[in-house]
Amino acid sequence: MPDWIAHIFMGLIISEVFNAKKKGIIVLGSLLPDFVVKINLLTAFFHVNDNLLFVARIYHSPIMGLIIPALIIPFFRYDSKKTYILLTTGFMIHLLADSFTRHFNDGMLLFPFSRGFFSFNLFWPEQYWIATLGSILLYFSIRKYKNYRLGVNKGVI
Amino acid sequence: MKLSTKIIGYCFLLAVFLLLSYEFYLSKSYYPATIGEFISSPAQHEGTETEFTGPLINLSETYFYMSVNQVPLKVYFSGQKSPKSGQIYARVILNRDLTATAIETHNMNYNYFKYYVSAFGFILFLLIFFKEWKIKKLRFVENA
Repeated sequence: MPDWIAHIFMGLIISEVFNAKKKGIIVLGSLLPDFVVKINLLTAFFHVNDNLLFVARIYHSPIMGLIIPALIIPFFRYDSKKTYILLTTGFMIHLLADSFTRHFNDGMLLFPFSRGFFSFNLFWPEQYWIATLGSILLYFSIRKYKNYRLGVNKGVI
Repeated sequence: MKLSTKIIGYCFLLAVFLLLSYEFYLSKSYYPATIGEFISSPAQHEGTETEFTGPLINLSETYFYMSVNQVPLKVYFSGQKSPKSGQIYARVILNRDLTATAIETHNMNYNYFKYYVSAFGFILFLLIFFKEWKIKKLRFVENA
């Protein structure tokens, strides 16, 4: 799966494409699925309960992408519908990005109707830099294009 | 919308969240064995195909030891090389004698750098998020 820089920039790309004012919420949504799954990192230091590691996988599924943002809404003093849409969008973009990783055993796209994992099997986890560089380049290209269009509209260019 | 309706709706969603998590936990037997399950009853999981990822402990010509969730596992595989700053991914068939035979392995070289990059990403996230939001009475409110 890509690193957090890539996930953040993917969230920023979506916020630029859809002109979302609250980029912070989309970016939060784009990191949400990993907040629980990162307990896997603890295994580098000590033994972690197998059941905990197993259940953490479920938080990388679209059904949780619909439920978890709704549970977070009350923590924001902001328009509920907008908060939900922005968080869910970020969450789904994260799942889409992760699904390109080979042997990605967290992505259960059709849970609870199917228990199978899904992945496009394109990149190994260590090839995260492709997604990172790609998303950074795309984000700044969009920013540059939007600034150029703004200049054209104002008659500066 | 009334506050009571909101509270009931929130409790309902929370219940669905917990029930789905529990339902998934109950389905654990449907999935390949974890290292903990394999160690507790190796004979039961003999011949099962599964995947493990972990750092290399040591290696020889015909086998290597890898650490899976801090449990050392002997994996039979010829010609394995040591990963550089990363872990080994192994698709294995489990054996009765608490060992495994690898069908396929892959060295995830320099994969640890991803976690350093992600740590920097977390700082970037905090900067982006708290540029727009501040905490007031345990809720996020817009920065003026």
